[in-house]
Amino acid sequence: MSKAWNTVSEAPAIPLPPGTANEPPALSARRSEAARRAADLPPPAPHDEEWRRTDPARFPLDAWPPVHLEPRPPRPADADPLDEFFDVVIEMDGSGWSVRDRGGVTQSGRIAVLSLAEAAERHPDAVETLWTLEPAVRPRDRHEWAAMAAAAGVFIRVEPGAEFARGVLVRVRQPAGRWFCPLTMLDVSERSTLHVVSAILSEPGDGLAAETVRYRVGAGGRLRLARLQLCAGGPSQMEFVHGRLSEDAQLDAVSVHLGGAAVRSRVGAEAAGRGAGVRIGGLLLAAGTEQADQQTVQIHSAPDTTSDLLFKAAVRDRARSVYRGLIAAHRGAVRIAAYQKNQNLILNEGARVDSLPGLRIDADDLTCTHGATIGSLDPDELFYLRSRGLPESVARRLILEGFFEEIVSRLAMPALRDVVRRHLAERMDAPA
Amino acid sequence: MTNAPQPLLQIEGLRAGVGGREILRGLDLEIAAGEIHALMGPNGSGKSTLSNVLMGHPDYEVGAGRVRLAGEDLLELSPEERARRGLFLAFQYPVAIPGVSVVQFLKAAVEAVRGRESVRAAAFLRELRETAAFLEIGEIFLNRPINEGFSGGEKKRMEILQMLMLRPRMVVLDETDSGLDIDALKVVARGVQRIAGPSAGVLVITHYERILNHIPPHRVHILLEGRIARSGGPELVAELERRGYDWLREPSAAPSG
Repeated sequence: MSKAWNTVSEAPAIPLPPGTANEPPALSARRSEAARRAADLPPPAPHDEEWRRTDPARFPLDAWPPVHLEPRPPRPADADPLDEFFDVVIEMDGSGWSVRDRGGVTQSGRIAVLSLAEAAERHPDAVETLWTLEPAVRPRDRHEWAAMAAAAGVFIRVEPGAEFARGVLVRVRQPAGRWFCPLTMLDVSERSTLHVVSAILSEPGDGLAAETVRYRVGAGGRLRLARLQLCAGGPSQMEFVHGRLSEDAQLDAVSVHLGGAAVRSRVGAEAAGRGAGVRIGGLLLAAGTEQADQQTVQIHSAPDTTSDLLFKAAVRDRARSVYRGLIAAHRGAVRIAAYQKNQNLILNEGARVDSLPGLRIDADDLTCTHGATIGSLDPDELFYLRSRGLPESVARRLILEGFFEEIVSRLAMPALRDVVRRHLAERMDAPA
Repeated sequence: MTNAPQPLLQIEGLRAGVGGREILRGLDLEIAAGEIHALMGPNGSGKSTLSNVLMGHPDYEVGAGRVRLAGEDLLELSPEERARRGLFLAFQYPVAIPGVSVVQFLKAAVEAVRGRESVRAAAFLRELRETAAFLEIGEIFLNRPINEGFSGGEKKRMEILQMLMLRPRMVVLDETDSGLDIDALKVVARGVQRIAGPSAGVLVITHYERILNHIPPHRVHILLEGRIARSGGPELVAELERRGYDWLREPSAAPSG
C-alpha cells in the first residue's frame, strides 16, 4: 500500500494526518513532538510485560491511513433517539465532525465547544495543560504518543459556576480501515458541572481506533463522564483517559466496553487538590477471540482525597481479559481513602481472565483497600432461576445483567442504561 | 365425579443420588390434587435429595423409577420445563442473585411460566404488590436484589411470594419452616393455604411438626433411608413426636432381598 500521508522521517514511521499543517504553530509543534516521541520508543515486542496478554499485531500503527476531521454542518441523518436527552450533540466520523446545539446553550457563553485548532487559538493555556497531562506513574507509551500526534476532535469548556447536567453527547462512528484518533478535551472550571457521554460505534471490519480523553476539573467542580464502546465486530480499540481534579472537585466516570477485536484501555485520575473525590466504574464483556487489556491508575497527590474504583469484566467463548490496577499515594497525601476492586466472571471454559491489582504508597495515615475476584457462573444460581421457569440462556443472561448492574446503575440517564442493557443482552445471546 | 382421582404427582420406585452415592432407594409416593401431604424424616433420610430430584437439579442422578405430574413423565424434562408444567419448589436455602431485583426476576419468571401474553405489565405489578402485602413483605423489598442480605424469614417469605405469583399446581416446600419465627411461619402458612385447594397438591417436607399445626396435612409419610417407612393420617405426627424415629427403623433397616 502506498502512503499518501505525512510521516516523520525517522523510521519506524508514525503517521500524521493530512490537513493539520494549517493549525496554530503551538499545536503543530506538539503534534510533531508526539510523533517524534512515538518514533523514538521501540515497537512493542511480544515478550514485553505490557504486551504479554494482548497481541501487538492487533494494534499496528502503520497499517491504516490516519483520519483528520474537518468541521462540517450537522446532518439530519445522524439524529438518534438518544439525542433528546442532551443539550449538545457532537458527531465524529471518518469524514468530519459537527455540533448540534439543541438547546442553544453555546450562545450563552457559558459553554464552548471548539475544534482543537480553535481551542489552541482561544484557550492556549488550557490546551497546553490538557495536552501535557500524564500520570507520572505510567508514562505514555508509543501508541499513546502516536494517538496524540494524529488526534482530531473537540475541546469543551464550561465557565465557572455553570451547570450542564443534561450535558453533551459525543457520538463517534469509527470508519473501518482507518487509523482513527478522536480526542476529547474537557475543561471544567471551578464550581461548574458537566455531564459528558461519549459513544463509540464502529463499522464492521478492521482498522484501529485510539480515543484520547483529557480532563481537568477546577475547585468544587463536578464532571460526570460516561463512555460507551459498542464496537462488536469492529476494529481494535485503544483509549487513553486521564485527568486531574482540584480542591473538592469530583469525578464520576463510567466506562462500558462491549466489543472490539482487541481493547487496550488506560484510565486514570489524579486527585490533586485537597478534598477531591474520584469514582470510577467499568464494565467489559468480551466474546469470540477478543482480547481486552485494561489498566487503571488512581493517584492521590493531595490530603483528604478519596477514590473508589470498581471494574467488572466477563469473558465468553475464547476471549481473554487482563486488568491491572494501581493506586499511587504520593508523599504528604495523608488521610486519604482509596478503594480498588476488580471482579471477573468467566462464562465458559476456554475464556481467560488475569487480574493484577497494585499499590504504590509513599504516604502514611491512609486507608487503602484493593481486591480481585475471578469466578464462574454459580450453578446454584442457575438452578434457582431455571426452577422458576427461565430457560438456561435467559438465566445466564439475568445473572450476568445482575453482575453488571452495579456499574450500569451508575449511569445517570435511564435511557443510557437501557442502551447498555440492550447491547449486553445482544452480546450474551449471540451464538459462540 | 365418582372416579378415583388420578394422582397429580406420582412417584414410583425412585432411586436417585448425588456424587455416585444412592440416597433414594425405591421411593413410592402419590399425591392427589387438593391434598396436602407431609414428608418427615431425620437428617440424611433423603428429604433434600427428593426435592432436588423432583425439580431436576443437574447434579443429581436418577438410577431408576418414574415421576409423573398429571400423567406426564417429569424426569425427561429440564428444570424450566418442569416449572412451566406447574411444579414449584420452595428452596430450603434460596440463593441470592446479586443485582437482579425481585420485580425483574419475578417478571421474567411469570412470563416464562404463565406466558408473556397473559401478563400485562400493569396487571403484573398490581398482583405483585397485592401478593406482597398479603405476605407482609414491604414494598421496598421488591426493588432490592433477590435474597441479597435478606434474613432467613425474609427469604422464605420471598419463596412463598414466588409460589403465589407462579400459580403452580404442585408445590414442594423443602424445610420452609427451618429458621422461621412463629409470625413468619404463620405468614408462610397463610400463603400455602391460599394456593392449596381443589386443584393443587402440596408436599410439605419437614423435620418438625410445628409447621403442620399451621398447614394441617391430609396424609403423613415418614422417610427413612431413602424409602417411605410408614404412611398414615395426621395422627402419625403426634406419634412421631412421642416416639421419635427409632421404632420405625427395625423393619426397614433389615436387609431386604
